[in-house]
This record gives sequence, C-alpha cells and structure tokens, in this order.
Amino acid sequence: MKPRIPASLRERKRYLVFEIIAPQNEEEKGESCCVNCESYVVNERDLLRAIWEALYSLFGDVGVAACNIWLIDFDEKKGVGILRCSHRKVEEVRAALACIKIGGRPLCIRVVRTTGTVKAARSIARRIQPLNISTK
Amino acid sequence: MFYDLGVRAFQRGVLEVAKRFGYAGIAVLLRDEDAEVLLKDAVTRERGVFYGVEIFADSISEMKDKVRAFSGKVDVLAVHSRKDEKFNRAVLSDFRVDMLTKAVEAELSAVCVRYAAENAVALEFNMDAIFKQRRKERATALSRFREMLTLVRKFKAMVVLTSNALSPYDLRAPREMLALSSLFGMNTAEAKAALSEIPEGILNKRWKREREKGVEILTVEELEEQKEQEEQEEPKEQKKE
Repeated sequence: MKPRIPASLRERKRYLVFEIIAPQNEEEKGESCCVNCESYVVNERDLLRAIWEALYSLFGDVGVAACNIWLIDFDEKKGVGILRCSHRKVEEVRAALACIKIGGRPLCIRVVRTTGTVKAARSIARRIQPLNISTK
Repeated sequence: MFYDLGVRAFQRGVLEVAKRFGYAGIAVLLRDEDAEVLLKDAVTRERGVFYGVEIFADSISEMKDKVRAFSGKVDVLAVHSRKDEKFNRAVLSDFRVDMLTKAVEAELSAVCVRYAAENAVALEFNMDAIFKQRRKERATALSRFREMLTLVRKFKAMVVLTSNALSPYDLRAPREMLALSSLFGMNTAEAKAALSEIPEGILNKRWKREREKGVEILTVEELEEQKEQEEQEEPKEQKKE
C-alpha cells in the first residue's frame, strides 16, 4: 500500500479522455487491413495490457513508474475511456497511446481532452459520439 | 491548421478520421506509375484533399525526366530517397521538388541537408517508424531522427512530420504527432511548424513561386548590409574621380 502523503506534497494528476477508432464490423475492415483481423470490440483488459506494453517498450520500468498510470473508466461499446497520469508525464503518455497495438489489429487512439478533475473528464466522455467510418 | 502530407493510400474513411482529428487537409501521395491514371479520375476534388506524386527512380536522369513530367501538375511533388549520396544531392539540388520522402532512412549527409535548405526542399520525417516498430528497429529510428534533427537545426532546413498512413487507422492526431516528435528531441515550436506552416507553404508553393519569378527575397538585416556596402562604395568611387 502506498504511504499516505500530505495533500500539499502529493503529485498533481491529469485525466486524459481518449477515444479508440477501430473497425467495428466486417464492412469497415477495408483492403489494407491485415488478412487475419476480425471485427471486434476492444475490451478493457486488452486495452490495459496494450497501454502498459506500449509504455514499457518506450520508457522502461523507470519511465513507467514516473508516469503513474491508472485506467479510471472505459466504455467498451463507445470505445471511450479516461486514463489518469502524472501532470509531468502527459506528453509521454500521449506518445505511448499513439504507439498502442492490440494483437495485429488496426486501431488508433486519440486523446480528446486533458482535464484536472475526474468530474470534467466524465462529462466530456459522456458527450463523445463514436465515429463510424466506411472504408469503401 | 494542421496538414498531413504523407497519406499513401486514399480510402473514404481517411478523410473522415483526419477531420475528426483536427487536420485541415491531407495530401495523398500517389506512386508515379499510377499517378497519371488516378489524377485523371480524381475529377471531383473533395475539400481538404490534395494530390501529390511520389517519384521512384533508379537513376538521376530518370528522376529528372519524371520531375519534368509532373512539375506544376500536382500539389505536392515528392521524390523517394535512396541510400545513394549522388542521387539524394541531385534531388535536393532541384528546386522543383517539394519533398524528399523517408529522408531519415536515406542517412543524408550535411551537404545534402544544406542543399535542401537552400532549395526549399522539405525532408519527410515519417512518424510510423516510431509507432509501428518495436525494440531495436524503433531505437535505431529514434537515434537517426535525433541525428538528422541536429543537421536540420544547423542548416535551418524544412521538416515535415507525416504519418505514412496506408489506412484510416494509421493516422495520428496532431497532438500525438507533437508528442512523438518530442521523443527524439524536437521542441514544440519546431514540431508545430513541421505540421502546419511548412506543409501549408508547400501546398501554396510559397517558396517555389518566388524562385520561379526570379525574385530575391532579402531580410531586413541583409537590406541594411547592402545599403551600408553601397554607401561605402560611393565615397571610394568619388575619391578615384
């Protein structure tokens, strides 16, 4: 358990609201996708593993420890989530999110907004509508 | 306003995703073999989509012929780099060329980067070398980007950050591109210029138009130096008389 630090010495946090753009059905696969990719819904477990893997491969154990990552919320149907990180490491976490891979499947993640409170992040996440793209 | 000048394949979803991410426009680079046919078909130009040609050539003469054929007909004229110093110098010495693609893989020398700066040829930094690769390949790419950046800063060459997207899912938002560029030492101002001012200037042919008209652009300091030199020369001429 983490030691209890006085509020004045605690690290400030930032909440990144992100959205995932991935093929949702067979029609959206497109010609340039890999042969074996299937239509899928990104689940929370796979996403968390992919975020950690991307961070580790870019920044190593020391860098990841400094980022202080925590996945607050993730809506699998909409593909929208909230990630908490240290205020000093926001750009590093953004770079890692840009490098995420889940299996061999095509997807991209975009950080919609960075907020200082969970309440603001949740209200922004609620307003995001998923993007349905047709690749034909 | 942000632009991505390195989209390699165009599907309907690419433009929607690019607009969602906040790009003002994308440039689709077609291979020179397919360009003539595809440019004829691109009658209905969608707003925000620009078309360019990426020239692949085995020799300098072939490159020159293709540059002459496509010059003035496309929004972006790009040449694919090779690991051949003479070829890259020939490309970067030609002011009709807008961009040298995959510049980092070509391992350009200082002379090449100086030519690029003098002839306003932009160097492409393809960010997919960072987000698609892992481990040793990515580490090598990052170190090459870092080395190239020192040369770019020394000679004040132009750099363009691209995603090298083959599908809508290969695109990355502008803020993510800025974050990726900071991994190899690019500061925010340089990265923003590489995503907005420089691509916009290439699409508007800002630097090429001035060269073609034969106009020499002087900065204020250069003007003042010229005036001082003229003033110094005048008394010498009077003394001789």
